[in-house]
Amino acid sequence: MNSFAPIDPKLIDVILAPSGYPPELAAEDTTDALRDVCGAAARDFPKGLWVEPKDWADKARENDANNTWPMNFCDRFTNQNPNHFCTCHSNGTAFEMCWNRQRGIIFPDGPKKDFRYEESAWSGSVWVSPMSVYAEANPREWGGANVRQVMEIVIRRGFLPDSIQPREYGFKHTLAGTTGKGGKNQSNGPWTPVSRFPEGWQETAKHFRILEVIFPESAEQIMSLILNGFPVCVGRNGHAIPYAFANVQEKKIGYIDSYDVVRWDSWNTVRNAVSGAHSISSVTSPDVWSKPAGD
Amino acid sequence: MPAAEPSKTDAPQPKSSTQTITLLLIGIVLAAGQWLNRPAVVPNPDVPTKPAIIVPVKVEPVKVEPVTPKINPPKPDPAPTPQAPTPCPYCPPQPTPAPDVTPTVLPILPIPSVIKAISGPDAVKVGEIAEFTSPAGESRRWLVDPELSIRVFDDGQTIILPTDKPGRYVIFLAYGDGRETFAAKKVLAVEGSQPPPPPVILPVTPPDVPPPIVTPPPVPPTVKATAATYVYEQRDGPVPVGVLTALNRLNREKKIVATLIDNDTISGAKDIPKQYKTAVAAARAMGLPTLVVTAGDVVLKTVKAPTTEAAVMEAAQ
Repeated sequence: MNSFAPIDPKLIDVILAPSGYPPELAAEDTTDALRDVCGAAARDFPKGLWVEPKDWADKARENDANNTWPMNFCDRFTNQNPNHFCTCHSNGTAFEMCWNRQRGIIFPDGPKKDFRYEESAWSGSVWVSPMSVYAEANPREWGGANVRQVMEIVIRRGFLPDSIQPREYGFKHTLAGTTGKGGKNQSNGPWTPVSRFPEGWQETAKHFRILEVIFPESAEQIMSLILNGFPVCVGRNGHAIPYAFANVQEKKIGYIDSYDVVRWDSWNTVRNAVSGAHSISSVTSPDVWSKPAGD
Repeated sequence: MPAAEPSKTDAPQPKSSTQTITLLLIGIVLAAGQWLNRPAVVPNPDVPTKPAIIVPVKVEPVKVEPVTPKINPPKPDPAPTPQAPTPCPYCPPQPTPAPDVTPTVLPILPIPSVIKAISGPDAVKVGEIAEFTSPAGESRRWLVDPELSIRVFDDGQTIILPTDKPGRYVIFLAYGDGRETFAAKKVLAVEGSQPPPPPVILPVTPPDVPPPIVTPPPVPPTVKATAATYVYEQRDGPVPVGVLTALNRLNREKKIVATLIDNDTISGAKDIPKQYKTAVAAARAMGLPTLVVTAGDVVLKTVKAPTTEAAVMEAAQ
């Protein structure tokens, strides 16, 4: 990957139609509120992950050469259009990046539209269902959910796996990924309230929980996390997304948008997104990778 | 064998006092020959007589009579006796020594100095590791019980035992510093959910028979690594890029399950994932971060804080 390549201006600071993160919900997502729902899972920014700004370019070149950006741990796009699940798509994508990072597998080009990596199957990549969390965060389906609600749910009881997986894992409980467009690597289906989840679904969801969340306190700490391979989730401009890439020369941060595309935030937008920014830094790990939810 | 054995029934009957005296003298010579044929050194039953061996022995629970809860058998009577010794109920059957009129000159074995050489816990719970350390020495050999998956540290002084079965284990240590041989013994209790085993008799080698020499290597060199796990604590710093790329290569090229795990990571069952139990125990013993290369539940190698791709790849070869 070449993080120093010029960026298409049309992909920078894009403001979308309402995607599920209206200002009234965003206002509740302060860092304190998020740390509160995370409880014991909350982590301060580790000093050991700090990268001096003068070293950003070298670190970026190292990540380019070795494909060790957070984006390189992501093996699929999702597409929520036109629903309001953005906070859950963002959280789910960050969860999957963390899962694959723990698995030690690198996807050389990151997510590619309508493309499925062969290694997703043998490495044990799991695709989670944003709807399985959103259905509890906002039972009314439309209107969105805030990050605080979503985080609390994923830490407490986890995601259900998407009905589409890179291989047959024998999951006892799955759910459509989204009511939106979905794609080759994400199933779509009708709105499903929690009351209509498959019987005993909690036994499967518990295997896909967030364990640790780092809270950066500045745009520079966000950049440091990304340079060290950790995605950072933020909500800003009415939309929630996971940062996963950076152009340190232009001082812009790229994110895997839940519309089959990589877009970019300017440094000014990143600064405005610090409150509520968080990095999912560890998630549950299976007893055996070929059986991610056990037998 | 019968041909070499002088038969008393075939001996001519005495017909005079001179003959009687002669036969008595022959009998004394034969008895002396048997006495001389015993081991030249009376070993201390607490001390293995082979130098430089550590013998961890799993002691299977053995029911014993309540009146004989002895840990060590009594010392053999130093005085030779023509009578048959009382059978030891705890010792394996001993071969009957064949009478031999030709006295055998036995090598004089060095008597190890007995010291309190092993430091480590007296008891652990199932799943925990037990770490034992011996003083510095030059010659040291380790005998590995396959069930215990002993990890021998690079300096040879320390072993760890990832224990997963309750019971009592005895660790014998013998080592040398080039001039003397030392020996010691320690008992480790592994406590688990199963009921504690009844009192056991430690398997002590019968005094008259040298302990068998068993020297399996800790890990056969042909054992292939099945997993490489980098165990770390994220607050201590980033995972080096070289480690990330090496794990990716091992996964793709060597088909080794090469992964990262944060020290606090658990499974959906809120426990250390089963696939990581051995690696996490070994890494915690070494200090984080550590790369642990395993074959099944056996630790093949540990590398403290590797930073380069080459270091990880080499460890997993």
